[in-house]
Amino acid sequence: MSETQFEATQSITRRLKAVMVAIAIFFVLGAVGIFLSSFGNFSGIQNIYSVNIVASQVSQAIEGLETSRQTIADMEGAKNLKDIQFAFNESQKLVKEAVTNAIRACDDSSKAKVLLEKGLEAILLYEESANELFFEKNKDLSGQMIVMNQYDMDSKEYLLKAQIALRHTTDDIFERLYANRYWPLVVGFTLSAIFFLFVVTFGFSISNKIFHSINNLTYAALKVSQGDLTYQAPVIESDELGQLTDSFNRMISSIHSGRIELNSTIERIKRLQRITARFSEAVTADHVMEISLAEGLEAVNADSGVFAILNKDRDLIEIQRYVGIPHEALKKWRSFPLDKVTPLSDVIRYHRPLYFENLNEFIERYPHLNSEAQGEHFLAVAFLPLIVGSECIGALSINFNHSQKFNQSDREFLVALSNQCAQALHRSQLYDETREAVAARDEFLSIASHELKTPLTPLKLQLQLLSRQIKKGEKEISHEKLLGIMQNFDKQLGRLSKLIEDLLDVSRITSGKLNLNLEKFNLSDMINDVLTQYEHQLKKAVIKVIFISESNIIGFFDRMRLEQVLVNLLTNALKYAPGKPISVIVEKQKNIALITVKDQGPGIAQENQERIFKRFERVKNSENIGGLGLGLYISSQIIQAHNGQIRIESELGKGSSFIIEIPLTLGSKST
Amino acid sequence: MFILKFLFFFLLVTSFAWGQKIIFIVNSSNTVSRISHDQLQDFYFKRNRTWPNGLPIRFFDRTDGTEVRKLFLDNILKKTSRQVDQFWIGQKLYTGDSAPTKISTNSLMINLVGRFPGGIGYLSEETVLPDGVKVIEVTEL
Repeated sequence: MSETQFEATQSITRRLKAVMVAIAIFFVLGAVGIFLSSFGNFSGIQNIYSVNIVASQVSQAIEGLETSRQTIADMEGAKNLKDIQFAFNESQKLVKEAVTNAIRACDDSSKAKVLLEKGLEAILLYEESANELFFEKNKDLSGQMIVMNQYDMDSKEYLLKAQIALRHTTDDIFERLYANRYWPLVVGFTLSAIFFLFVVTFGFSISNKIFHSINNLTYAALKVSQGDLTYQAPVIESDELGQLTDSFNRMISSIHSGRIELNSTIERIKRLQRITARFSEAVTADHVMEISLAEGLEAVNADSGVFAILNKDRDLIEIQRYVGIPHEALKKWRSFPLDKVTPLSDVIRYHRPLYFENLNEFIERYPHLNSEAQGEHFLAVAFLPLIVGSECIGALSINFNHSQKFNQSDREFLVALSNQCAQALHRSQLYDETREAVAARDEFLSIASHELKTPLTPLKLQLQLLSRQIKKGEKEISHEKLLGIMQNFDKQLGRLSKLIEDLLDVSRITSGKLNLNLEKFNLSDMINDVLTQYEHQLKKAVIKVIFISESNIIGFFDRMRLEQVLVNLLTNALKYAPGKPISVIVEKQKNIALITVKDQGPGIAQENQERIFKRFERVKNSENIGGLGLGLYISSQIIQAHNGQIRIESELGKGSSFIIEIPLTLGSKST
Repeated sequence: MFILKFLFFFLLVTSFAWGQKIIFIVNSSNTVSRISHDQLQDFYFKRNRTWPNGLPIRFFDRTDGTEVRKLFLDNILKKTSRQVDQFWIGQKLYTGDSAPTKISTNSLMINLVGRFPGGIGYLSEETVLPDGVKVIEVTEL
């Protein structure tokens, strides 16, 4: 699943924060809008107040002018003109003050102000003409009165006009106030409506998306709870819920792949169990390999496989079984040395599996196998060591005709498979060995019983003859006859004793109780003694012994045991090569004594040369010759206990040479 | 003296010639020499308040009941006295304008027109005019 990119601007919390900021801005805007829309009204109300002040002043002035006119009217019948003048001036003072106040209270640009200023001019003229009247009383009174009247009229006219202008101003303000009375309401309502629309639209959009996202998530959870792990919830927005949905999808994908992996692991474990169960039935190596290849290849869906086993000398790799590969392809590789650079030898040598996921990897690692690899029947391959304990007994290769990824669980399974194969193979090998051992034991028992019985039969016959003669009352049994019988007894008992002694030796060797009693002596003397001791028997068998020895071969040896070895070799020569000469050569090479016993008997075939040093092993065509097949085994064990070695050089029909190499002191080893 | 006698005579003859007639006088400093009926109406009703040279117009009316007032109302304003009074009542209320001052005699009229540079008034034609005023010609249009 691809990585989904999320933008911080899509965040729900950020958007909610933006909405809250927008609400705050709306509130401020609303307040400002309502204030601005009412501002005209506020100033209008204030203007009315100031206009009223002016108007009252103007009214006062008009009143004053009326008083002045009354005063002048009283003048005709008056006695004291000065009182009238005083009264006129006083009232005029009030008028002027009122008009001045009114002018001061007026707006600079207002019509009323202009009119009032003109009115003030007229009032001054009126006063001037009145004063003329007071001081020039007798001169054209009526004319002067009319002139005065004229100024009075002018003044009043201006003041009235100002009053009307003020009234118009007030009317205008009222009209405006009336016209604007709904403005704050309209502004408030409009802003509220926009705000409401915004909140509803935005809120609905957000809640809708959230609802859908949660709905999708819930549905996905339901699907998952019903076991559908393949369902992926759609990611609507790249907000927090989108991220949550994405994470949920990833989690479910991960669980899904985990479950698939688990299932495959379970499947593989089952297969391993089945293989184990089938291995328990398989006793032969062949059968084990067959089961391994059949089950293993199927489990990993591979196309072919090869079993390569290391030989006993651990220097050759042998292809023992293969599946899915044509016979010709493996012809060249039937058997090849371990030190040849190949993946199989590497795996066996380093005890480590090798995996090649495609042909290129293989060729890169083994460029010299390029031509072979091109012709091979694989693209991917796993080479697995067959390890038992600390030893590698071979390797298994699992081949694929397609490129193949080996993940951890694949590798673990293949290693487990190879380990099981190795164990099963090992068991089968042990089984083979055990079977062989049992066969050898059975053979030994038959031989031993036969051999032990052989001296007993003549003994029993002789005893029966003797006892019959005694029963018959033969009083005189000749002395020679008796001696002959005794000698025969002795011979047969000696043979029995030898057989039992050999068996005891084998038992000692097996239980590791073969102890050497070392003493210093001359090896040449010892051999000479033995030859002298057996001279009679050798002569009887018409065997001529040629003894060649260096004079002084002194070392630390177990005399009895070495005599036993020599006697054994001589006895063998007596048994297998009667009437033919034997040569015994003793020599010293540095600090090693070399004893060679050479006969001219039938010889031993190459393939049997190793075998004859083992327990209960005898040369095949030796049925008519007695013996347990233990002599050479015991001899080789004695020599090995002396840190030496015994070997044979022989060819069929050309006699045999047994060569003993033995160090003069126990501490140093023979080469 | 001669000129005065001549003028008096001239005036006497002209009044006789047209019967009761009306003349308009202005301050002698006034440079306007001719005025129409419409202009007179505008001046009287204070629709126009200045002379072309910028002087404020000061119209003087005559008291009711005189022949010359009747002539003025009939020939110039073409309204009755009652209509004119009603107009001024209205004007006082709505514009603050008051009616021109009503003068009882020709002499007072002449006196006042002579005292105000923008003054204008009317007389019956037999009146003898002093230096401070002059007759202004009235045209129909």
